[in-house]
Formats: sequence, C-alpha cells, structure tokens
Amino acid sequence: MKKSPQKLGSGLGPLEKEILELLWQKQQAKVRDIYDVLKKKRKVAHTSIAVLLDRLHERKLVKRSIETCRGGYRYVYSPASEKEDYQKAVLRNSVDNLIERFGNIATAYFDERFGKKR
Amino acid sequence: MAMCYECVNTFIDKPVNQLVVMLSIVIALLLLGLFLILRKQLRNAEKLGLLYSFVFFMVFPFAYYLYARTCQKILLSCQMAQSLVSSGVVAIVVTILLSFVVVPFIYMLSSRSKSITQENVLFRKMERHARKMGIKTPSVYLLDKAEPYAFSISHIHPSIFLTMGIVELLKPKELDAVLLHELAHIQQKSSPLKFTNTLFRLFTPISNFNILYSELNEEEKDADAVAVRMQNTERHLLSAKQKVSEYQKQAAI
Ligand SMILES: [Zn+2]
Repeated sequence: MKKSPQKLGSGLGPLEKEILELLWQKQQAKVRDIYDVLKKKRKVAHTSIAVLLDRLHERKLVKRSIETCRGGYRYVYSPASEKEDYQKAVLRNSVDNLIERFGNIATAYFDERFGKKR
Repeated sequence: MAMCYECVNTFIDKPVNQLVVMLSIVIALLLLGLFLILRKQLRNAEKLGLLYSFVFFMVFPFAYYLYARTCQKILLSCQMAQSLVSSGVVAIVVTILLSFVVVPFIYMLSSRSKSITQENVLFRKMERHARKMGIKTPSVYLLDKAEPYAFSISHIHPSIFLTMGIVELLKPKELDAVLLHELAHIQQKSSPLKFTNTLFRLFTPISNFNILYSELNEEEKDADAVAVRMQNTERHLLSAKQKVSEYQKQAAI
C-alpha cells in the first residue's frame, strides 16, 4: 500500500501557504527574505515566520541547509518539491479522501462529470 | 571475563528472576517505543524523563543479576524484596551517572550537531569572552534545530551548545549576553556546593530560558548577573530573553 502523507495540503494555514508560494518563486530564501516580503503585506512577526518555516520543514515540504554568514550561521530554505508535483499530490489526496468518504456515489459522480463522451 | 557457571545457572533457573528480568526489559522497550512514537509531541523535559526511565529499566536487570549473584554467594539465599529494592537503588545511581556521560555524548555525536571550528565568528567571540572571564575556552557546538535555546555542560569536558535558532534569532550583542551567561555556568563549576543545581540543569537542559526556573534558580540569577556585569547593561540580556519567549509563544499557537 502506498502511503501518502495524510495531512498534505490540508491543514496548511494561509501564512504557511504564502511562505511556500514565495519559496517556489524564489527557489531559495532565508527567514529574513521571507519576512521582508510578507511584512509589507500584513502584520507579521519575524519569529512566526521562523516557526512556520520550521513546521514546513518538519512536514518535509521544505528543505534547509546551514550557511555561514557574518553573524555566524543561518538557514537557507528551499522547496522540497516542484509546485506542480505538490499540487498533484494534494489533488490526489483530496480525491482519494472523497472516494473513501462517499464510495460509489463519488466514483459515479466523477464518471458523470469527467466521463468520456461516447 | 570469568563468570561462574553455577551462579548464572541458579539465577536463570529461578522463574521469578526470569520474570523480573523479562518484565524490566519489556518495560524498557515499551518506554523506548513510546519515546520514538511520541518524540514529536513531547516536551523536552518529558522526552528526557522517558529516556532516563528507559536507561533505568535497561540497567535494572544487570543490577538485579549482579545483586542476586553476590548475595547468593555470601548468604546463600536472597530475599526477593530486598534484591528488588537494592538493585533498584543501584540502577538509579547508575542511571544518574550514565546521564552525565550519555546526555552530552548524545548531543555531541548527534548528526544534528556540529562542532564550531576556530575560524568561525562565534568561536572567536567565545574565545574573547572566555579570556575576559579568565577561563579556558569551552568547545562550542551548533545544534541543527530552529527552536532557540542554549545550554552548557560544565563537567568532564566544558561545552556550550547553541541551536541554529538562537544564533539566527539574536543580534550580536544579544548573543553575547547568552554566551556570557553560559560561560558563567561553566565558571560556576568550581563550587562543589552547586553540584545539585548542575545536576538539575543536566536533567532539564532546556529550562535555561524558562522564566519559572530562572526565577527559582539561584545559579541562573548568578549567570545573568555575570552577563549584565560584563556588558555593563542588562538591555541585551533582556531583549534576548524577550525574543526567545516570543518565539516560544509563536510556536505554541
Ligand atoms: Zn542558565
């Protein structure tokens, strides 16, 4: 049985989604970079960006490496997968969930909605 | 190692002893399993508690075996309850002793920690502060964790541990305050009366910044005082603590 991450996509807060989105754009960013962009759009603390990036890392949605800098060390974050792959995984997950919950009704609906026209 | 065959035999032959040994190992494995499963959700103090209980129940069968063997030799018969209590005490002592070696060792050897080398800014900073305080520069380790905290181990091999989180979060002066605080802990070692406090800190290395502990703990206050004295202001230390507790607040949401 293939094990897909249950919480994938679901349970991501709006700020987490925004951070992930930014990482796909930039491909690589420090906590500071993301904070600098997001603080212009909304009221947000530097520490909460650090916390959320750590959570995304724990959920294996982002990767990080350690880089030396003037102050000592810092994290450089990057997305763990391409945006498209991630979206596909989220979609697959949601569809699977629907089928699990609604069974035949769901599959019948998918046939009706997306079924090949004969 | 020369082990007398008969002793092993008589010990293992007794079903009660087999039961005690098995039970202890089963409990140890259950605790380890619990630790591995709940690792992510547990707080650090709880994690350490589980680990120490695991070590205790692993040590216990050996202590029990040795005790049963020696008292068999000397007294020819052993009271079950007495054996259990005595080997329990021995196991606790061994666990505490092991914790002195094991905890620092785990941190040092963990793949998530690296030793900070002499050419790094942080090491040079540390060297400068240590010289000013008149102590030998301790080893500095960087832990690959985003959660900001720092702690030190003053026994065996003085070391200071910093997480990536605290290095990244604090401004240079604030980090200085933290380093001075930790160096002060290493300096405190000289007083054997403070041994219990050190022990306590070892058991809960994460509590360094916990307001509750620092209020209660004389040693924390002393370490803070050193940092304030060296910097001629409490501003940096206070803002460092402020930032750390802000992070903790965010992480709790
Ligand atoms: Zn302290």
